[in-house]
Amino acid sequence: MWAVEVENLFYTHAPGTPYEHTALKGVSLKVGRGRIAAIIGPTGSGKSTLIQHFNGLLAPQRGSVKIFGKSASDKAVRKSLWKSVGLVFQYPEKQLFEETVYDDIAFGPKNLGLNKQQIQGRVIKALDFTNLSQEILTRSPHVLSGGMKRRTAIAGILAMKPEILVLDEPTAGMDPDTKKSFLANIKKLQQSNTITIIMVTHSMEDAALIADELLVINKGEIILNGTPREIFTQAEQLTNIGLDVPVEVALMIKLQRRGIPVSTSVLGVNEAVAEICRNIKSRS
Amino acid sequence: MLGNITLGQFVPGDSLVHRLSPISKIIAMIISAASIMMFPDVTGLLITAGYILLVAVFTGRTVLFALRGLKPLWILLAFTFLFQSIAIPGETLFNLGFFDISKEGLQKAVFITGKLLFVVLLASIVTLTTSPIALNHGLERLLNPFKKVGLPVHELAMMITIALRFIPILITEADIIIKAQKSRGSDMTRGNPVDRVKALVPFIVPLLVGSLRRADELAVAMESRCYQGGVGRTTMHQMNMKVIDIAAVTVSLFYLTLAITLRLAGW
Repeated sequence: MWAVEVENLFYTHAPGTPYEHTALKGVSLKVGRGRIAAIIGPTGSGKSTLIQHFNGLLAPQRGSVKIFGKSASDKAVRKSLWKSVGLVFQYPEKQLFEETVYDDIAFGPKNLGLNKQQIQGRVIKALDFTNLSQEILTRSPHVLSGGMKRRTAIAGILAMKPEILVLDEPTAGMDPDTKKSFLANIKKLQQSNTITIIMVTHSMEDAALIADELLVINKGEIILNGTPREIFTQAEQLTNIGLDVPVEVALMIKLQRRGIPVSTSVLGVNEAVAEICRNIKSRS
Repeated sequence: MLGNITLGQFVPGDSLVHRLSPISKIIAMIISAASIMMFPDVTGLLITAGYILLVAVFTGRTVLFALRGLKPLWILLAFTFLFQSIAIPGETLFNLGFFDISKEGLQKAVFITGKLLFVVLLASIVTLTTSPIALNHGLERLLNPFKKVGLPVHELAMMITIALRFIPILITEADIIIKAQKSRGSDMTRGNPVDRVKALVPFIVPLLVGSLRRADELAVAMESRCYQGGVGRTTMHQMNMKVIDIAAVTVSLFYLTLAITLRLAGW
């Protein structure tokens, strides 16, 4: 069974007004249980609209969305989806509201109806995962630094132990070091639990680092999907829709343009070096 | 989710009414509203209907939005209608439990409700066809004479502009926060009234924090660009009276004259 199965999904914002805008035009995709999928697309491509279907915030207007086989067209299913699908919005630090960090992280688990001990366990675990120290639990979330706020908000979703975790541009505005360790943590999360992770991003570099599969979306349509390696063989198409490809892939494209027959399907600098060496050897 | 909030909503367009200067639109609206209130009886209502139809023709499709915007008002209108029809004594038409509906009452009810409807319709045509910023510049110009008596007209206008500018931003932000908290299981449609009020906290606190932060950032941005206020400032869009403006105000004045004449004739 697929964790997420979307078929021919359409969505139009504000239909019947001058602000009418069709965000999704027949999107189909499948994400297997326990996988990390990255949804990549330029601004305004419909990414955020798409993921709001996964936890029941938006109802499919046309087409179907199934989460673990259950159809999100059913209102009762939609209303309970928040329990199994955790959605971390872009800039989630904006949603902090409680007086202490502890209470804020505990908000989700409390709504799940857990008892005090369970909640405490969940909060501590989520805190550990996001590399936050227990000292901050009694502080107000509003006095924390930007990065810590972000991690607190993410901990608030993780504490609900979702089966599917959806992250909307989680690394936006992070410095390179924080970003790297955050992505590594996400990978670790996938390996230690049977959790399915869907990450929205417009950074190909982030996606290539952790994703098992990539879904490239542009103007409300999925235009490419496959493993990062498969996608990078069509690197030109990515740059055409305004997405940045990783530096090493960009280098390969440039070499190709000069007539050097290298493959653009490289993951990481090491592979790129190997590919160039192979090319040089084959010539001599 | 919050898409149905139409406060200050502007529908871009190219109709004659759209192209009027905001100043003349506001003046014509005030004159027309005063005239509608001045008409003494149902005959005036018919004339007004014709007048509104004329305005509607020149407004084009945007009128449909004005009509749609009337929907939330139906409770107020229904209440006015009911209250008027039972409050006025006269020849009883039929009996409604405790109350008698009189012929005079019914007439009065149609009359008052109609007036109310038309005034609201006119006002919403003005706000729907004028961008908030233009509307505000128009107000600033109209209020200009009050500067002499110490009214900080420019500052007031700027505050209104900023407030208007922030409405869509705050609506978007509120929408996201509502969704984010719903994703954490927050539900303000369940439980007793106390629970529901408590359930508002997760929405209101972040929204308030966000708007304070925005206000602060905006203040810094304005100060760092040496914003000085009204003295010697010019506007990007000059509002000159054109032929259509004069025509619009003339038509509304003609309509006012009609209202005064009818009133004095005591129809």
